[in-house]
Amino acid sequence: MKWRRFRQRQRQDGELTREIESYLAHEIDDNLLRGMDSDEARHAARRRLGNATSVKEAVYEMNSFNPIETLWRDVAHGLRQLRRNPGFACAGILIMALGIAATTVIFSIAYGVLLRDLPYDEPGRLVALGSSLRESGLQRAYAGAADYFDWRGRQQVFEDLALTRPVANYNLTGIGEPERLQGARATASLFSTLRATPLMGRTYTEEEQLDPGTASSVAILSYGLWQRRFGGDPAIIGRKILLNGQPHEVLGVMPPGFQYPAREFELWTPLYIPPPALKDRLDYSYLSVARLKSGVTLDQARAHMTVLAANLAREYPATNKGARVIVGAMLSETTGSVRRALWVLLAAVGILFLAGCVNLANLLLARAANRSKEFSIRASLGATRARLARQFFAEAIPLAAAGALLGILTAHWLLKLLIPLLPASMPRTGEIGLDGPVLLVSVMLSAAAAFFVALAPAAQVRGNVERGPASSGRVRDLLIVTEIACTVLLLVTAGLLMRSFSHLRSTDPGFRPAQVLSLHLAVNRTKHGDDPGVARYLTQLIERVRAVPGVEFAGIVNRLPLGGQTQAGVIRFEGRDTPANADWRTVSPDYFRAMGIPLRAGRAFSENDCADRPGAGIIDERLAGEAFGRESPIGKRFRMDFSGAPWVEIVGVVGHLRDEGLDKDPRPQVYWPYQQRTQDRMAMVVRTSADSASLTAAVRAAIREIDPEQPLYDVLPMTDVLERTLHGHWLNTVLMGAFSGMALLLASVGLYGVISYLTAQRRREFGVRVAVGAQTTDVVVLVLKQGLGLAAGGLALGLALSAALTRGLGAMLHGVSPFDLRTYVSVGVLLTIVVSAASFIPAWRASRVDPTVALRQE
Amino acid sequence: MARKIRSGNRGDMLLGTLDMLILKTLLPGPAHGHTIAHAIERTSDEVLQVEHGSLYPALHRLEDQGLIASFWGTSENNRKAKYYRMTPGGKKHLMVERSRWQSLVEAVARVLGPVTELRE
Repeated sequence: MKWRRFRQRQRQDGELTREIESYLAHEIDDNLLRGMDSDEARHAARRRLGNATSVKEAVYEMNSFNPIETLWRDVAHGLRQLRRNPGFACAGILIMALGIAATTVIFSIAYGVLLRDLPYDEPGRLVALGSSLRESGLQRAYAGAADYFDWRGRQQVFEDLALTRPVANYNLTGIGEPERLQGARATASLFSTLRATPLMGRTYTEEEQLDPGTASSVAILSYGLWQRRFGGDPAIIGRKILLNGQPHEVLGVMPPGFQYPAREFELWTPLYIPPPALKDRLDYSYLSVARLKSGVTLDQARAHMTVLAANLAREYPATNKGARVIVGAMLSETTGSVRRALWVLLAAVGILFLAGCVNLANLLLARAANRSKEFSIRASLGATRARLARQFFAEAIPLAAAGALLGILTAHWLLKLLIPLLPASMPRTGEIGLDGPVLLVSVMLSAAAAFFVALAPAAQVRGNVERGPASSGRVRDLLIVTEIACTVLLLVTAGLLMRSFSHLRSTDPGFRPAQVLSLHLAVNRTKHGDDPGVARYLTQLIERVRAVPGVEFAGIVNRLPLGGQTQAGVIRFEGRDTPANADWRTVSPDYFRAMGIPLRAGRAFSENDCADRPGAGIIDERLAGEAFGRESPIGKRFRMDFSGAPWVEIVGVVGHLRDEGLDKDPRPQVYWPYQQRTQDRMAMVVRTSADSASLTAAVRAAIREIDPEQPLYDVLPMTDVLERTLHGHWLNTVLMGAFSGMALLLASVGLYGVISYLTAQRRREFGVRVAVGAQTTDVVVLVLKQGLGLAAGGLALGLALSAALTRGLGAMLHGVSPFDLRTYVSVGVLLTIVVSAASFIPAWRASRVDPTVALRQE
Repeated sequence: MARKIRSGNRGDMLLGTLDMLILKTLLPGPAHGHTIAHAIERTSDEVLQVEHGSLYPALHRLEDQGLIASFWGTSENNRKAKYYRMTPGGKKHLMVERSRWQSLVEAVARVLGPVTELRE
């Protein structure tokens, strides 16, 4: 009905005109009958009718889709206004685009990493289980194998649970280039717990897992591995592939999306744990995942597992006393390490966006004041106050829309740039993308911004009439103070992160990384046999590499410092009760010299510390101080904390290392000689006389000479390894620096705009002042005072906010307090300089005003 | 959504009253705008003064709501005029509105009753 009328408005309009004419004709007829002359009759009829145009308008509007049509007309008007003022339009769109781009980028990362569902069926019911062993100082360990089997046998809250050994190295040989594959050994229940079904073939059964024979001869491939190494061979199921030199039958291929525990895992094999290994209950090197029964909450599961742990503690007091079970939602356990950093960045970008909006609001406000004439004309022509106020929303909408579009496009491009830069330690980077939910949030943010930005000037239009123009000045001041406060908060945060980063950069890792090449290799036990065989092979490798020209020292260690892999355990010193939790390391004699770890006392290992000689051990200076104080530890004995472990004699004390990162220092180190405690996954470190990277090829070739099938991985200069650990801090610092820089730019532009506007308004006043003898400096000081007054308010508020909020940075700060005075003072000085510059330009301009011109202006 | 009708003394006339008056006027039979305007004025003893132009948006709206229908015809003066007649829906609407109005008036009268008695 209405739609039809809407389309026929033209005709309807004509009809109404005829109808009104008909009325007038009848009224004139009547009036003539009443004896009026024709002129009088016509005038009286018109008076009787009232305002014909407003009648027509009322009917016309009735035939319109009112809100939409008015809005469209307002928006069209807004567009015209913007086109007339392209500088303003560009500034507005850029500010908006900047805010939206930054927010979208960070939100899409945070959403992908922190919020997006894990790629499993009903992921909300998946929990991660771990053990906390307070007795031996392991705060948050992985799950223990023996504990797992007890949990699985006794628990009633989970549908099922699984155990995974996340580090399994498989050297794939027999087809082309040998390659070390990252695999995981897992219980058969892993697939049912995650509800993952293979794309092809099948997964292994519990019987196959528990049988040592089949457990070491079957494998499941990831989709990526199947495609990459086997060309997507459709006949892969049942095919035998060589892993660590042993034939493994491919049972199945997982679908493309499947990953566990992380994306880089390409292979799953049955986890067989020989029953004797479960006896000592000390092997805490597993991941455990469980699926809650439907209707069971996380808290219920926690309570249940606490009771279970208490029972186990009673049954096995030697190992389980004080042990607790940690039950956490799998998503938060997966993302634990980066969560705070991402939330902080998200908050920062939100503040930046807010600052941008405030800036834009201020621009609109200043413009509104300039356009007061336009508004009074429109008001006198009959535009309602609401209509005028709406005009600002109508102008903000195209700005926000264009800004959002540009911002989202920029974000798309920035994300492509940024994702490869994300630290390797960040989980789930594959989940990051600009899709539905992220876009929705961006668009909603833009809409909210458009509304917010138009609010202040719209309110001013109302205020102008009702409260006088004074209120607008207060709103403007409030906005600029808010913006400066936001900027200060961001600057302080960035400053603190920079201080923290430079502290980390100057932190001594305990070794000398320059001119050291590191590489990883996993020794194939099938080929090289038992411990003596592996040790012999390693000796060969070390000697061959040392013979490479340019190599000064070559050594091996089972876990590279800062390499991201932990191996820690408890040791006991002979005759002392307190156990010590330490990094367990197996090294070759030259390792300390190759890595540049200083020898503090005694001697390093030698090739004579072999299997048939008395056990030798080395501890670091921290442990020596903790355990022996000023007494010399040389000649004392220690052993791993389980019965039957051999005692070793301390032959030396070396410098302490930061093994897990420059930002933490959890444990001291203990070393065993590689011939007495042989490990088959090793890192080789090579100290060179020249640039370490230049010897990479020669070292590789030397190793291939000994065993052409030996895959090498993570071949990196030690300096790069060090950088890698700082990468996350670096990125946070850079991003925060960028955000605060943008905010500072916006704030200075905003302040500049406001001061310019204010001085323009006071031109006449300045003219009078100059005319009666004011000096240039007087006017400059007058204007500067105004700018600095605003800045001081913003600075004070911003510093107060910083003091209250930067505590949230918590563990992101190293070697610097959230109340670091130097940072606060520096930010204050920086802001004052920038703000002075921003207000000086308009102040200077104001002081140049020619009084005769200024006075004649009005 | 529909704009408030601009009646002669804007705001004084209770909202919807004009609609009721128009419907009442059309109860005996079709009429054109001019007749309706004068009829309303006359039957209300010229108490309800309407700017005659304000009638047209109201007529238009009532037609929109399907309460009245229109056709062009020739008037008693032999002039072209747009006539309006009540639809069955309009008649029902008028009855409903009238009884609602009645009860409103009674309610108001009950509230104001004592004052009236005092004056008598």
